[in-house]
Amino acid sequence: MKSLLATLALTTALTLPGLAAARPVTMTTTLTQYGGDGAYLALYVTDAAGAYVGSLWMAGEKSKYYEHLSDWYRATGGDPAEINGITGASVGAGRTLEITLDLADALFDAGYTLHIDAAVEEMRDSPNEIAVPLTAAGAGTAVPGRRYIASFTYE
Amino acid sequence: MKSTFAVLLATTAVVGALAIPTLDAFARDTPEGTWPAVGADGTSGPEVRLATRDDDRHRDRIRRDHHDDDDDDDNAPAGRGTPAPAGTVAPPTNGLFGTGAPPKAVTN
Repeated sequence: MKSLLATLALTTALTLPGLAAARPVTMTTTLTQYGGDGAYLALYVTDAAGAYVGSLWMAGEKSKYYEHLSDWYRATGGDPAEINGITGASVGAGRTLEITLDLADALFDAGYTLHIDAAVEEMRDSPNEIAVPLTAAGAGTAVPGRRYIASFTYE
Repeated sequence: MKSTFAVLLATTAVVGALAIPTLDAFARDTPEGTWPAVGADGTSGPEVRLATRDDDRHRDRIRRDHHDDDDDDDNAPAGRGTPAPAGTVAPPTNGLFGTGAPPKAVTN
């Protein structure tokens, strides 16, 4: 009986921090009026060494266009397994995409960087349009993009 | 009275002369959906194509073909499929996601 209680206490102690180690994070991306079709956006994370860690969201459902998200594509080979369950529609010019994700706390203040590659049909590709360090202090601060993204924030 | 008949005869002859090329043009075989155009001098000009049901079918086919082009993913690299949309499967286990609420996206 004693060993059962000890096991229960141990598993509870191990499980609770795990449950608490994630929080909902809202990422808001507003596009400029670039005057083209819907933009494909790849949101992904690299570690402190610049190595690809994983994807957070893919806006755009047709895999034949993914190669235009060139940095993301180079890191993943366009593998759909990287974006299963986190893929939605492309985003029109001037519109705002708001994504809410349950993200691990360990992502913040640990040297990780969030990147966004952008591409629009018959317009110039824009890899690494956004590159923003994931820090608690940076939450709520708008970051401008280079070509298609007017601003990006996470909080 | 004689002069009246002469005028009547002359106008009938002129009208008849003008009508003959037009009637001839109608009588010729023309492709379906075209209408023979007749110039002011009575000679036939280029054929004028009218909108027909066939044209509508043609347009529908073009639209349908275009739609198919949009929907296919034939140009995707070999061995690559289409990713599962958000909400249909769990996010990838890449260590970035917690086990809480599933991803949610809204476009405004």
